[in-house]
Amino acid sequence: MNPFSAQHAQVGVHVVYIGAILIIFAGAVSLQLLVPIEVVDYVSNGITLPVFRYGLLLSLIACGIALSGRNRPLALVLHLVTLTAATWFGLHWAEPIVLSHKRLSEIIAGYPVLAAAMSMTAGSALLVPFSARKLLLPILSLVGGLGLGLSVILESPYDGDAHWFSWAGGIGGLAIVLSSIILTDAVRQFCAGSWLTIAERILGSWLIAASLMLAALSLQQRPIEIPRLPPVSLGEDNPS
Amino acid sequence: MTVIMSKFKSRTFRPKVAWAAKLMSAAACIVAPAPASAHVELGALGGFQSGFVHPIIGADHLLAMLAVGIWGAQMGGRNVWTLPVTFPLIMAFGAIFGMVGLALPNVELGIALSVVVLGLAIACAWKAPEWASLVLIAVFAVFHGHAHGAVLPSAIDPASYAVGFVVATGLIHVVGIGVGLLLLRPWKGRLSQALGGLICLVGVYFAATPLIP
Repeated sequence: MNPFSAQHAQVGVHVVYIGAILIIFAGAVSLQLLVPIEVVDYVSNGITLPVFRYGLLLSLIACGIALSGRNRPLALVLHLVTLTAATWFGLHWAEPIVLSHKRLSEIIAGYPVLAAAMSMTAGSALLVPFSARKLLLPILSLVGGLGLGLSVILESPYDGDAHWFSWAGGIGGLAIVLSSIILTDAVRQFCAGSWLTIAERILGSWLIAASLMLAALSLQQRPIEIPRLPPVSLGEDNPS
Repeated sequence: MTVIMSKFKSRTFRPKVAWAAKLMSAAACIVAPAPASAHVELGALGGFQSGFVHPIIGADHLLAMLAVGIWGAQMGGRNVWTLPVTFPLIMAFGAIFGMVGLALPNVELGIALSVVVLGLAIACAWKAPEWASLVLIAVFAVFHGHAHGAVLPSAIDPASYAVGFVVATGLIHVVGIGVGLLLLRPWKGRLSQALGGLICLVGVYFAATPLIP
């Protein structure tokens, strides 16, 4: 029996996925037991942040779908390492770089720009044929990680315990990517290949369409028009 | 008569008809309460939820996008995915036109015509050349996108609104493909054609409504 067969490698990758998710949940549970309530608040808000930013969520799911399936285990691990490293970079080192350049900070300051860049890359990776997708995956891992990190940092509160929020946000985003990879692999076992490809392409077209609109929105941000209330007429019995 | 009854009682036929009937009743329940309330949304536009329901509560959008999926499934082959992939992509450009305030004449009429033409294409089981179907879809997608895009900047959370309506549009296409594939076999696709005829008639109603004083 060959211990390094493709089947064993596949099982190994799944064990790594499940282990990673268990570690995340064990970490969350131990945090609740060991740390003060304010920190738990930051962690819970951070970990759920990518879920409630729909552009970000869709891109992360698409990132997971694009990374799943026909990749070799080593390539998959390399892409995941790139994604994690890029998220780390986005969380810790990208913010000072962005803030030091006025023009760059003006561009990045809007959440739609990041979401648009992530959606465009993820959508393109899903829409193109698999041979071209292989070339896009390293870019997707980089853009996805950086986008996730910066999106979390942009929404991070400014106080002493804010690092808990950014950590949790990054881990929450990576957990979404991992869950998407596992779920897509599971669906691939039961679903005919051509239907899954069609579903991937349709999702890809949604993401590119959304990214085009997000990009247009970020170029044309209009202030929200608040309707002016009519002046309040003071009654005679109210001298003030 | 006996032959027809035996067909109805056959194991392979009856569940499909029952499913088709259920699906059509569900579609009727969605469409019937608001036949002409397209684009009517009271109050400020919100975020994802508001964008998500926009294509669903407008019967003209709903029917046109459903028709895109059904027509693709009816034509088969690559058309099953090329039409639903092309529609949102071109719709995004239409939405950008609407967002920047580029005026497009008779947007509502264009949308109503899309329902008529797509319904007619399904009713006639038109196997259009791929380029022709894509051009047709692209033209209509611009009108649908413009209608959405014009209201988008006024939404409270425009980014989530945009994502919501793209996802809803895509999901309606997917439902359309499902309905189209489901209705492909019973009565040699006549049920699908009948549905197309119905969509076409509703489209004529939408197109004629503004003309009636």
